[in-house]
Amino acid sequence: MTRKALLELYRRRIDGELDLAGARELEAVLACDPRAAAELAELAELTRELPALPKPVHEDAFSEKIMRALPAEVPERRSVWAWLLRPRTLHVSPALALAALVVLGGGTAAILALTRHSAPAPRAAAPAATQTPAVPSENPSTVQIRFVLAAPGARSVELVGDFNDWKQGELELSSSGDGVWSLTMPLSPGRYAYQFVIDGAKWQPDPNAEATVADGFGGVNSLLRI
Amino acid sequence: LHATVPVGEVVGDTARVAALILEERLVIELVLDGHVHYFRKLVDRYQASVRGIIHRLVGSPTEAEDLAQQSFMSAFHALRDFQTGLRFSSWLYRIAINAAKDHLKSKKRGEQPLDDDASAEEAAFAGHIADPESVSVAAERHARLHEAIQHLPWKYREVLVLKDIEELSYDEIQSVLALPRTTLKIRVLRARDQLRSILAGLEGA
Repeated sequence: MTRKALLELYRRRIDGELDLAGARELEAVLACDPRAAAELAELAELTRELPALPKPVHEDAFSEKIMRALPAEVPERRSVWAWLLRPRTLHVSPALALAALVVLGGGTAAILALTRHSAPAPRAAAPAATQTPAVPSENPSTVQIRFVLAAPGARSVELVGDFNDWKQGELELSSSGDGVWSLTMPLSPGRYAYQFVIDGAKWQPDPNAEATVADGFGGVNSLLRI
Repeated sequence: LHATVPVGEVVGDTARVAALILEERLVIELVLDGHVHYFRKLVDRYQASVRGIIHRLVGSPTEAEDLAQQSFMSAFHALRDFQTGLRFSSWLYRIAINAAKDHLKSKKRGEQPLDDDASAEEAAFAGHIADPESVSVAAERHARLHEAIQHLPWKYREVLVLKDIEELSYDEIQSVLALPRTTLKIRVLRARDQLRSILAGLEGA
């Protein structure tokens, strides 16, 4: 009998799925192999212990915290119309952002909505004179990436992603006052999933991202490759 | 909300599950209709399981609390995508497991997790501060089991947590993980066998 077949017999015994033929087969193995009997006893003991591991108890405070953080209603489903109305975002090198500002006469939400460029900024190309000045990276292996979101009416916008373990409250975008929010940060070359969080609750993927990946919740995360 | 689960009444498991599903669909309809406060019924019902599942998957109770909150928030935001063919719990557990998985992936990318003192973790998780001098034999065994679970490969860890800790049926696990039943059973037997070996290694160390 193979190891896998023996383990399957153990499993069926423990899960109460053993039929008469299986039971006889297992008994025959156990009768001539004391190690198998010991092994089965250990496995059976383990499966008795596991459900008895300490479990959390209900906490009102946990529920209350969730309920306080919920928006007033469940967001609408994504649709083409919603997609069209959704704020646009931009990842752009500070150099390109500066060029766009100069050519088009100023950084506005409209410019950002119409411009899309996801090329990361080479470190050497980062000037410090854009709307949100880029800070040259001290680490030569990183590049400066500027995240921009046009979100008029938002009270706060933050960035969450693989680069910060999806923790809220760490990477806040600054508002320029005209509804355009931005953040420049150094990132090492790699592949990052991310989203914006508006007003601390509304998760907003980047519709202009170069790619998306399933977020596992029925939606998508934006993907940035550097 | 008028549909309630007949608590204390002797009903078959199928009837109980049907009542639960019906009630949850009503709750979800109400929430989608703007009565957001009904969402609390779902949070209250599943918060302990979600926190427990995530804790066993990621190891740290503190991280589990954050991820559990994130899971409920994600479920709320995606509620219009909830498929009525699923039980809400299956859908929610899938969200929670994915959140835990993504979290561990992110951690791997950066700093490696610290090797927390498993006994202290257990004590904190149980809601009291234990005197290190008087940690019971049972608590030590629990801590060892918890540690061993963290050493399991992800695909075995998730089925072990659902099957042997949360005691879900194979039908329910199939809904959560969307895997063929045969695959699940193979993973369960491998998970148990590997856990036994890991424990033996930890106890012999």
